[in-house]
Amino acid sequence: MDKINLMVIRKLSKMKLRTVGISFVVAMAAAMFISGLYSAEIFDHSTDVMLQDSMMPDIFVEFAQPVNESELEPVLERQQIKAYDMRLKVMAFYTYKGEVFPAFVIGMRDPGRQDINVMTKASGSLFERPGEGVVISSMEDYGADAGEIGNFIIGGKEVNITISGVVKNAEYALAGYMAETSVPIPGNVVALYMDLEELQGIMNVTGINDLVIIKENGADSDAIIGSLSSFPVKGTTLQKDHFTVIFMQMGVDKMKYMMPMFSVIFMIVGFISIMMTAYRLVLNDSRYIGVLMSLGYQRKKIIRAYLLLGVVLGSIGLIFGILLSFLFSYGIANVTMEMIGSIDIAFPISLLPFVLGFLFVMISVLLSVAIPVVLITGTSVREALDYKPRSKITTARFGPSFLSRTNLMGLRNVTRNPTRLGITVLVVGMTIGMSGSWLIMIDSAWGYVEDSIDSDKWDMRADFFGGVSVEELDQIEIYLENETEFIIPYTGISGSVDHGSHSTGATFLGCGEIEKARDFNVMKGSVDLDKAVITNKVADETGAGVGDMITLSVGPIVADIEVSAIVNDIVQQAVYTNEDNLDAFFSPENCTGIYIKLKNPAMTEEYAGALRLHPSVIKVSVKDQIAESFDELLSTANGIFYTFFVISASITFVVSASAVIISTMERDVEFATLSTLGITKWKVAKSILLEMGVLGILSGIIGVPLAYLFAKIFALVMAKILFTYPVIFIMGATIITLVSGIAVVLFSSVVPIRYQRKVDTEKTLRERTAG
Amino acid sequence: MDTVEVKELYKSYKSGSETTKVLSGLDLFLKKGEMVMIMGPSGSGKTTLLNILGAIDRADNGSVEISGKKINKLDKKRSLLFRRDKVGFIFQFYNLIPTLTALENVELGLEQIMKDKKKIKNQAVKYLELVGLGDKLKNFPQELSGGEQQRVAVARALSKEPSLILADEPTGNLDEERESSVMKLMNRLQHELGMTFLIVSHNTRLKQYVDRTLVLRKGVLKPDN
Repeated sequence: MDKINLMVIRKLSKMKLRTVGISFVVAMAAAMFISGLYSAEIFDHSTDVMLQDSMMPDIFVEFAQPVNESELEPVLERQQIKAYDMRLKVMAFYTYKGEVFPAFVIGMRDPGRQDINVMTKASGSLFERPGEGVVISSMEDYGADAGEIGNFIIGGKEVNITISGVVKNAEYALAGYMAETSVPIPGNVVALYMDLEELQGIMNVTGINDLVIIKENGADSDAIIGSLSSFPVKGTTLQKDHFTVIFMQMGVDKMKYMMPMFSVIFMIVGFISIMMTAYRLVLNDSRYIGVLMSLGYQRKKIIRAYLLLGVVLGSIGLIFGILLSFLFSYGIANVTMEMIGSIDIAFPISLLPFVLGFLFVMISVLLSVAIPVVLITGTSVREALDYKPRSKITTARFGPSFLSRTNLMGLRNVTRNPTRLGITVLVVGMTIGMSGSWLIMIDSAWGYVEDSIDSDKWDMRADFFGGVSVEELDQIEIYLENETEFIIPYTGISGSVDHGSHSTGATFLGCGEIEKARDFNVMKGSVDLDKAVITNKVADETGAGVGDMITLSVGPIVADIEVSAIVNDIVQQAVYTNEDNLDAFFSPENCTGIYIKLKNPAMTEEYAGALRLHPSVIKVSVKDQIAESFDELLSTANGIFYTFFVISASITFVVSASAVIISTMERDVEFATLSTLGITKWKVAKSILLEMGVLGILSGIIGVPLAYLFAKIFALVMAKILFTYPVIFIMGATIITLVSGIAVVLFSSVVPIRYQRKVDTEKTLRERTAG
Repeated sequence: MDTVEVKELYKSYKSGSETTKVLSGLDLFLKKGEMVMIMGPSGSGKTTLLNILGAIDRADNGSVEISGKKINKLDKKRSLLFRRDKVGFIFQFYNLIPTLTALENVELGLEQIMKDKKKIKNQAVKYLELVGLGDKLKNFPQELSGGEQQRVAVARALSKEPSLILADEPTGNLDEERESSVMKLMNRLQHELGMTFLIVSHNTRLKQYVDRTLVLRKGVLKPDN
């Protein structure tokens, strides 16, 4: 190896601590950048693996009435179908210690099938005989566990089922979340698989009403669905439209949008941190560079040697960075998946995040070392030799007179290099902003969800099986002992909304009196339910505005309607109008659900329990329970957000410490001089603490508005993929952001304090002030 | 009784497998109010001797007594207290704190031994006036000339009124005129306040200002002939 290269490399091995420090900064920058990109890919890949391994059906078919298996089989055999399963699926209730939960009960022949909708055992065994069943994992805490006896109300009859085991599958991978809600709500839903013939006996039917299909590769789903036209098909769902897939895709999208944004922020912070440390490292070497120049070394050889130093430093950092990025990515993906369902993590083989990470780190490090070498080698030999690696000190007479001179020195050290102060405050402020944005995001979302729930004036909502006539509503009023303040019927159905060439899916809710049951958060126009009120997400996706005509369609039936208002709604994709405008889709005498407000809200649970036993009712939603469910969901989300908060805060620590250590390293002579004056290390440490405290306050002041800015950007992303929530000023989150930012910066002063404690007075004075 | 009594002082440094003897049984006695200069070639151990006397460095063997205090066995904390109370340092490159004004630099040393802020200020002003910088109290070091900075360093060392002033090339960075002014000032303070000075320098011109000149050669001090 060239002597000059050898000299530079040996230099690294001599300054072990500094090499470790710079490598650590590089590693953290690389890790955060890569894990931002890679965790999104892990999430995507794990979901794909789960869907493939579990043989999730491609088509889910629901029949309006039971169908004879022997009539269906020949039709299916003629299609390009790899596997199918005919089942009986009914809505039921599960009771545990007086509490009633909604349940899906599915009768099937063989729970051990490996060719379709595979059930993976979590505990116990699959059911083998009548009287047994398996449940989907998520309700173990409510008695739905292996070895327990589950109490169900199926078709109005009380049935005890021995739960032989707990399983996982793709169909109910998100059983913990109630389907049919725009925002996934932990719904405490029980999904039970049991013997088909036994369920047929309980329901007193002979056929099946549910069919799941895995088609041959390349087979046409429409053709398969079309072949069933002679049967009373109530609805079909393709895999891509299944709740599990949609929600997981939502999560994947969220990660795909959000994590690269963090990568960009980390990239900026990482780049500046690397610049600040590596740049200084080379500047400190200017005398050696001068010596090399005096020995006649060519400029390009010197630059090449220092670039080699950059490559070595960058490589050391990258190795640790890549290892750390696996850890961070695993942590991020694990926590997120824990929140949405129990999905095993699968690492994809993907080079892109690592290639980008490699490029980012190498470009940052090489630029950081190249710039100062180019500058120094551009001067004369004498200038290079004379160069003192100390920045110009800016002095200002400020500081209260009551401060001791050591503390005054600490205070003024903050501004001794205003440019560096500006950069440090900005970078540390960015990391504080990033930490705080998590808190602001979660608090804003929480506040928004609570406000949305508060805007509902009903106590409970009941959904009917297939629609109830207006006459029957009177019976329900009587059923509830005339204890209701209002019963407001509505009709609801899912379809598509078209405007020009744009189209999107939405729930149509017909209810002329809905304003009695809930308030709207109007963004544009005014609510006129003789026309249509659309959510801002529907408006975004279709491009429809107030006064525009939109077309609602369900299958071949269409209805045109004018938009009167755009609202910000927790149900993202919805169209609200009066029931008459949805006549085309429903019999006008029928409604699919009701909002109920009781005279005595304390009786809600009791009446909800009674209503669940009403033969027409398939689901009862109690507002307070939904609110609790949201609280649970947000509590889980809190865990993730606080984890990100802690990760971001630790980056604040690293960035702050690495920024300040540079300016501390310039002050060895000052530390040695203070020691000759008999000033204790503790007093000097206090002055550093004061300096860091001021730096923390300045960074915090910058960090708070940045936190709101980041939270706003994230909210815009969230609006695209989940729901729109306004970022509002939150005193608590603001104070925590500010205080925690200052605290972390203060805590990072252990690094410069440790450095000053180790300054050897005698050696420093001898080496740095020798004439 | 002498202010400084150094007997049989030994000091060596290890560099790899090689041991370099710097001081080899050095003796030194300074009377109160005396100003002594030590000369010697580079690497002869002048600064090492100063550092040992200032309790920054420690001798391998021998006895060092300053104002009746044996300092060679002091732990770090006591060494610091000793420096604070008994010694004043003057460096060739002044070593002023750049973010503090001339007055604050002098106060910095004083507030380690005095509590009353008013007294601290008065004392600092007094010494800055003594060195002729009464009109530059609020100037930062970078706003002062080299000579003025050296005078601030002198004021900072003297204002504590220590038993011993240790000066390492105190005029090394000054022109002849400034050199003369600083040395005359130290002479004045030596006589007015009775302070003991030990100056290390290569500069033979300084001989005219000091009471005695010693030469450090082969680890021992000998009178300059």
